[in-house]
Amino acid sequence: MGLDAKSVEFLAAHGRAYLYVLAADGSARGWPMIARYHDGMLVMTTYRKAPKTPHLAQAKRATVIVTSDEGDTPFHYAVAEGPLTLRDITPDMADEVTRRMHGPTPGDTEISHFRARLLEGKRALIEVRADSAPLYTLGPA
Amino acid sequence: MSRPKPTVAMTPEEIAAFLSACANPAAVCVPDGKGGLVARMARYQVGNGGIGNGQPVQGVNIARTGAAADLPAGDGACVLVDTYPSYAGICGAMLRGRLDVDGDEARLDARHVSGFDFTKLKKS
Repeated sequence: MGLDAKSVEFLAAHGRAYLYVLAADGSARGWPMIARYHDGMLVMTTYRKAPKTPHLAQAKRATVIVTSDEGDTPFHYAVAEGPLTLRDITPDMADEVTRRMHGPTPGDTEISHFRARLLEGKRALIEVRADSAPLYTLGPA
Repeated sequence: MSRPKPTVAMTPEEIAAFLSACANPAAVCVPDGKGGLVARMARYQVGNGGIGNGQPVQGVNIARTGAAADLPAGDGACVLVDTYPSYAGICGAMLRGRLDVDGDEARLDARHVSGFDFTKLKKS
């Protein structure tokens, strides 16, 4: 099932996200993240030893809220849902993951630091395929 | 002598102050009872406890309006509030517990409350 053009445009333009999974005990667990939409996937990274990692490892699916930038008015958000995969980022994946997270023009300081962290071999790649991603608007305060 | 490991964890008082001051909406997620999740953004207010009376936050009241009107009641709900002015300035709070709904209002009674403040790394 493909996403509509407006959802794709919104996901591609925004990165503030909240990643949620259903934990083994049946509760929702979530974490603020930076997510990048690339080829139908929401791509995120985390430390392999982060407290969230065991929850992600057992989850088969995830729900990701991607929002407008902080303070934007009107404030829009998409709720993406789909299968989740988690795998270690090996040093040979560093360039590919950097490109997916930051685009094809690395070089600025923040991106260099991001790539350097990947090369340490301590991070994991989180991918959520967006099977659906309806858009919503938050009402005024 | 080794230096203590820096922590980004907030104290209960810091969490109360953060939630009371943060203008960002909350991310609210509730299991739907069928193996899925319902997740929405919603306005919130600190409920009992909080900075006003100096008590730890015990819950938040959530506006169940607009797209958030379909948030179901249930155990295992998770509410996140954060701010991200920069990587070094990330602050956030997580509350987990039961969500009860009453018309266009919902209330999370928090059984677990935690918070993180990356600015503490700079200070340590």
